Amino acid sequence: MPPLLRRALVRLLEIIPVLWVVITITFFLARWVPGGPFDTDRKLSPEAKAHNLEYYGLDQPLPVQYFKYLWNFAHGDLGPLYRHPDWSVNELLIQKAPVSAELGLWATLVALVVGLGAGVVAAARPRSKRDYGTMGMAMVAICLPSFVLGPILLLVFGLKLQWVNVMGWNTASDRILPSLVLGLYYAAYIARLTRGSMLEVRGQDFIRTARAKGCSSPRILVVHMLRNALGPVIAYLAPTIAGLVTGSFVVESIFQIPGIGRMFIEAALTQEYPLLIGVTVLFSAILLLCNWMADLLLTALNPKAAIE
Amino acid sequence: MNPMSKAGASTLWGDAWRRFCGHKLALASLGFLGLVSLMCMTCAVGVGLKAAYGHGWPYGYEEQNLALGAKMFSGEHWLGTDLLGRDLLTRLLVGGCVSLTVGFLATGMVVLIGVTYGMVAGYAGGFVDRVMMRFVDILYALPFTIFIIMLVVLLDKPVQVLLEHFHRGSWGPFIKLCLLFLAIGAFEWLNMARVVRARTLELKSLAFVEAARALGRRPWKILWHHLLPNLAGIIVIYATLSVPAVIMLESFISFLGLGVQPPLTSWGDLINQGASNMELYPWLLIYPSVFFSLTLFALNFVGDGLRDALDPRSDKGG
Repeated sequence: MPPLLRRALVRLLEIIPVLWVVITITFFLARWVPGGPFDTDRKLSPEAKAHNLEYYGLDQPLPVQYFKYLWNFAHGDLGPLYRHPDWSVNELLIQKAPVSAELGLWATLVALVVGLGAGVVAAARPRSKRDYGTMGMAMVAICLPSFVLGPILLLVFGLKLQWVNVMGWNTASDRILPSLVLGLYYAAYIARLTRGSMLEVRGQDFIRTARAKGCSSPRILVVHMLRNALGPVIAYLAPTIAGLVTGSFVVESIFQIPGIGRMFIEAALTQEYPLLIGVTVLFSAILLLCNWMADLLLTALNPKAAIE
Repeated sequence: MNPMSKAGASTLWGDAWRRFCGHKLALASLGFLGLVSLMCMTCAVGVGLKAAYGHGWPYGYEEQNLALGAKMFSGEHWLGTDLLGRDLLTRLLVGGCVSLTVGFLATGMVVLIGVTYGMVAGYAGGFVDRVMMRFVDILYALPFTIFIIMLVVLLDKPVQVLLEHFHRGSWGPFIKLCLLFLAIGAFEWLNMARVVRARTLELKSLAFVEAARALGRRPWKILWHHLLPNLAGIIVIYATLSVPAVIMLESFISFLGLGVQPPLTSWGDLINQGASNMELYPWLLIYPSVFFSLTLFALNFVGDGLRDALDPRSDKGG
């Protein structure tokens, strides 16, 4: 087997034990938190509560529950929803995850296009007005968290100008504001990374050679210098994409989008254990897969680095 | 950071301070941060004095005036009032105090945990290093906002019981704040640990460390006397950059309604309340957002300035 393929397979298999640790940590930490899914504002009678606990097997010893959960998990069953008995965690994730994934992919697109574009524009003339202007704007985007930017954009474009709907996830124009709010912060980071890595190679011999051979400036910028930024951007993008496609609590609540971002926080607050573990594992699995793919890409880009 | 080093001799911190002063924007940001912190502290002290002696700051952060309601800025209330007629400027400054305190304390935690962990892992090397770093990888794979929330909820009850036991129930809100920064610190140290470990690995193979080891110095002494001074630069850089990240996280958790408890407030909490009433009372959203963003702006610029000053080779970002 070629060593690179072997390495890729080993890395892929390494994800499984990490996921198991994630499940274990989440399971026991969630159980240590006082209270439970049936301790709601609406008081249940002790008999009803006991019946519920027994029905869902929550009265059994913790290790038994743990192994039962692992067994079901291995068979693809993520468990029931205590508060919505006609739903299961699987059904909920299948219905809502695609919405978050779509929003996340749009936001990734925004981050990549705006970020790379701004980085190239800034690096073309370092320490010029254009450079300072672009990087200043990137800094503004970094300092405006989504819970500031979202309401303000909504106030201006939704309520005052009425160009877009205030909430919902139906028409194409509903995608614009949430993707921007979610993506711009990361675009700013990518712009800074891109500019930095491009400037690192600016004074090097191969750039001078390219210039001496008569390469046009845009070609040098995009083909020769931008290539150096690919590594850092891919390494940064991998965990970012994982975070984006699994939904953002803030953006989904501000724009009333039916995704899984809100379920993360709600599951933690209402102590729906199966849902909580389900979304955590989903996030971790996507994150680990993204990192795995980034690792492969980086190796393909720079085989020398893989050897150490 | 002593700029008055011996004439002619140039020290790390002396040089860094000189380079930092050349960075006009960073210097201005440092001034702005000083001003904001001073205002926040003055206000907090004034409010405390008023609560205790009846005079000091003109308004309390929890002082309601329901007849007044939400009003735009005026001579009495410079930034207006919120729905319950509370003075917005007072609430902004008290909230700033909370946000900045959490930011700096949690960063202290980050430095403490991250530097110790990274140095031990890097210096020990081998199997210990692999196990410690795999643990960091696993924590990286967790959606840490959930875990911060769970930690805050998890530790809330026992702490309440403990406080009741010692008849200190009124400390509740303050302790809750401490829990928040402990929980944030418990998850934010990962980057610091990675960076410190990487640099420790580099330093460990240098001659002066080997010499110290050959002379029989204890590992702890080597870490403390030989490695830490050489790590100081990157520690300062990453610590400065983690302050805005932590403040943002605190604001996010307060935005969820889990951080500070009313009537106490923080910037994230103010922005949250502003966002829910932005249609009718936009200033409730705009003033906190401006304060919050400008402070983050300044913190980031100071971080960038420090990075340029302490590590002149890197010219990343702008």
